[in-house]
Amino acid sequence: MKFIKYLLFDLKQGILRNKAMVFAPIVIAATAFLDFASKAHRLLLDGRIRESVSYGDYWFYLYGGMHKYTPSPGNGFRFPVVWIVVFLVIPFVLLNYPFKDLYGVGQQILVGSGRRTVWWLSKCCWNFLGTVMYHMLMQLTGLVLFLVFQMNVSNQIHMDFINLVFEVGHQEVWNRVALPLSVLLLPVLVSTAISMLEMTLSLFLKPMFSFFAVAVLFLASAYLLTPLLVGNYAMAFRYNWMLKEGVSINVGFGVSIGLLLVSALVGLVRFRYYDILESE
Amino acid sequence: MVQIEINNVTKRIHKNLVLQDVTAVMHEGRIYGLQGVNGSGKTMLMRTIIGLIRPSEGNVSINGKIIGKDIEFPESIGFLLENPAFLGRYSGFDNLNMLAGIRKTATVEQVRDTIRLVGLDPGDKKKYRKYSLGMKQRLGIAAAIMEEPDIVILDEPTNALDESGIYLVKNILLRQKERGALVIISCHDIGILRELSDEIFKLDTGRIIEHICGESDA
Repeated sequence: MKFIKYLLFDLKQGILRNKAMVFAPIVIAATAFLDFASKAHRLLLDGRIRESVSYGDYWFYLYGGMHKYTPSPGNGFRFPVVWIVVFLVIPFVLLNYPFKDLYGVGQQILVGSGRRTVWWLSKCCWNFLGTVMYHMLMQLTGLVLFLVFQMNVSNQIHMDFINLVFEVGHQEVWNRVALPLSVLLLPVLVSTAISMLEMTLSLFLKPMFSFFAVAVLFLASAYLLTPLLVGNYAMAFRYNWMLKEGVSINVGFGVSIGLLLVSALVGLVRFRYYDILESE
Repeated sequence: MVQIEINNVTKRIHKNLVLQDVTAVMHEGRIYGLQGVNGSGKTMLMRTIIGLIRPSEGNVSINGKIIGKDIEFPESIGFLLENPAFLGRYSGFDNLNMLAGIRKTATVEQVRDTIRLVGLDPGDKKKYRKYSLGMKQRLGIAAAIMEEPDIVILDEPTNALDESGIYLVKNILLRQKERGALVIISCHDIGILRELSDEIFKLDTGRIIEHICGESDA
């Protein structure tokens, strides 16, 4: 019962009352939509794509990331801007609340609860639900904009559009026509795992350093296609469903769930001995 | 019956010794003063008693239960450490009522009474972020005492208070003592500390260098 009360407090103060948490995904989704729609419109007018784009293409535009990067002269690394914004804003938005709470009114609640575990588990649930809500809001905003502009809201994808936007040769990718559920879910799951990792790292490093660590992880994942860098599982383009030498979706689910649980457990153990000092 | 035993507590933070072999025993119905310059370890000792930091060596026990081993925090404690911190967008009453609602240990009436006791108006709709420093301090004290805890810890409770506020705090502390609470305070004003405390622990560089028993023990 107590846990539910703490969780409701965290959800209210850390999500509903957190303006950035609510508005950031809406602004990102709307900005990305404008960019996406203008590109699609231009390509359609130029006759480079045959039919109008759908919501599936927009989703891929947000969560696609980039295909494999092969360093070579004349092939500079091109930063996957949209993907990095989608995935880095949420760890940034989630960064401060647990510590603001811990050094503020949450300290009274923590001591009143009598158990450190309750505080940490409540923050884990908040972190997970906050990340899921961020992605849901982003996708919902896209969906609403598609409906407003009377565009095709199916999960169909158009490879001619995707190959042009992501500048990929046809020979490298499978010719897909729709997004399966597993592809839709995995990036969100990876995002929740990385948010949890960041929160746990913040118990060892200063919060801003843990954010930088997560940013480096994302950048390294974009640079290197390897199953060892978890960010690869957050790029729909890097799945073997799409890219012939891509990472396994099933392994991605296993790695993400594993990272999520291990991060939460390590944090739980660490928080039991964590010194709550204002100066931190 | 409440008793705090601090047994040879040493705390190291980033290789700095912030508490060194601190030993003390404290009993209910008494006020204990912690005296010392900034950085002498007063707040660290308070944090250790509350359970917010874990000793590197030694332990703190409340009625024989060791903090960090048998219990994670004292079962009945109210505290104000350094600066009071509440939710800026809520009024003072809403903040305390929210805390009481989560912990379910104080009624709405108790919350109102405690706010009145510290000289604030429970009906005041002003948001906490617009409070003056003195009002914030009073609300912090109210939060610490509203549930009538067995242990009350107040770090610099007279900070930012005017003459009338200081007088009020003195009365509140004496009332806590009268109802049988174990009260620990720190204060830069040695006069106030000596006036209120039954015993004073003087700290320097994390050590208790002097233990002074007050007039009541003389």
